[in-house]
Amino acid sequence: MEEALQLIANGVVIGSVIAVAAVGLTLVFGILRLINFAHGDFLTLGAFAAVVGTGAGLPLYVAAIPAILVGAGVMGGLEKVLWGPMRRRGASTVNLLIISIGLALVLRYTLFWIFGSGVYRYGPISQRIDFGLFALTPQDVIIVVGSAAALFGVALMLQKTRIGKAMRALSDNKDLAEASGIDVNRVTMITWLIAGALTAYGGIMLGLQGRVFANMGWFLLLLIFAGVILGGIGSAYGAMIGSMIIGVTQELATHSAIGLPSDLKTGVAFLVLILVLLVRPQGIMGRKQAL
Amino acid sequence: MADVLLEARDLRAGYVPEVDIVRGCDLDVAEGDLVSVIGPNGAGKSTLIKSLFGLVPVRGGTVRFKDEDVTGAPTHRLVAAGIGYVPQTENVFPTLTVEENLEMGAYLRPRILEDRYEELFEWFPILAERRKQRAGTMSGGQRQLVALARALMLQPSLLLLDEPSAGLSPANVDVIFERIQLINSKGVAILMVEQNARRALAMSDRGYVLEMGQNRFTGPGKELLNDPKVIDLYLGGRASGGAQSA
Repeated sequence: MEEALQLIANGVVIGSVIAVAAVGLTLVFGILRLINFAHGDFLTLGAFAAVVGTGAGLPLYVAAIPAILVGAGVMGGLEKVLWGPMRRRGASTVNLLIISIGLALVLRYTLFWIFGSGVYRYGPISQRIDFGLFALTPQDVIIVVGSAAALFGVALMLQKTRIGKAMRALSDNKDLAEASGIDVNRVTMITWLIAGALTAYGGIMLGLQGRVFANMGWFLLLLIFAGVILGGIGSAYGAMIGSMIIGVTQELATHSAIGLPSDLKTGVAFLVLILVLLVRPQGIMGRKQAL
Repeated sequence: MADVLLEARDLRAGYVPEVDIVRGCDLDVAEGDLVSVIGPNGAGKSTLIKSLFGLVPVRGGTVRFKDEDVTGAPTHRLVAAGIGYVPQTENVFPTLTVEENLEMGAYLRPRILEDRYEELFEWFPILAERRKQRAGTMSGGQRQLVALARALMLQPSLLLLDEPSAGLSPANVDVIFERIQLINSKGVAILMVEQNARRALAMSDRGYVLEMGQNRFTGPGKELLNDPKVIDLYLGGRASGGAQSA
């Protein structure tokens, strides 16, 4: 039992990181029907942007601010010079998907080129704090609290603000949004900026777990996709729930009573994904729709 | 005759390059008028209304709205100029509540929101009861009311309706047509495309019969209803009667 609680706690930590990344991915998908394979490498970009700051002697919470701006700026800039022009030229979903894979490679190997293949750290990982039923490092606690705050902020924005409602409207029905007088290009740009900021933030959270390296976001990408799809693609709340399930499942899979090697834990998370989709093909919060 | 609100001359439009679906249409809507466009399937009725609203590329001819040339103008500009539009299908935001749907209708002028809620909930009382319900969970007839209310949020002077009665039960068809007449009686000009030709013409100030993307017959709604050629060709013959029904 104790072991299970500890594994669930670990799962919530990784699930929190996945959720922050997954929400950014699903917001963009909801509006553009773009499956962005470069999303994982944007996490890495955010994590490294913060490394630059901490390397210069800044505390992480200060270094995070320019890093988040870099994430938002690069995603927004790419909408301006790449995604927007591509859509106006009528690029298909498959074209855009292939472009995003190319973009992922460019980003990743640019980071390899600049930072090399070494492992960076924001600082030493502190001793675990015993919470009675489980123990977590202070960094883990920051990850969970920080992610929850970010996700709460996104939910509040989507639910209460004019721009958030416009984002949901656009995700529901782009033509009708246009016919209602919503400036679709502007809302799209704002969505990218929010997704970029959120992704960089998620990258920093991922780095806070211990290590920053050029493949870190790429390694997490499939789990992010799993969280998004499990929750129902395009649904921000679904992405939060789905990511948490994926995070907790893969940690629980390593429970000694199950006896699986930890190399298989990702496989178990995907098994759960497949089982859920067999019962509910549109995902937990998703609507039935043709892509 | 009242002032002309919308005027289309020799309009040509289509989705695919080189293939015009609307092939030289003329159309006038005066302020406060209720105008119907009828015609067989594939006559280009919906394409006509979409081309007026910037949703289908215009290839030739002119469109003037309130004495301004708006030929090929982008949709959001036409919305700002005072045109509302209700598509035939997928005309609500399904995951948004009724209230949020209406809020999106007033996106360009959020300050008028509260005043507009008041008037529209008076016109559509059922929506006031369902304010917090998601539009996607409502019946077809109720969704159509949400769609109408959304399009009326900015107080348009012209409302474009693409087959407002399509897919509705007979009882709901009555409700929708009755609401359309109410909206029109408040001074909003209406241009609607309808399959339900008899009902549409009976309540229209003017009617246009479209065929192969061109004007075939034009005139006051009741005149067209009683025109033997229109009856034979488009209203299913005299035998079925109903020309008097209004």
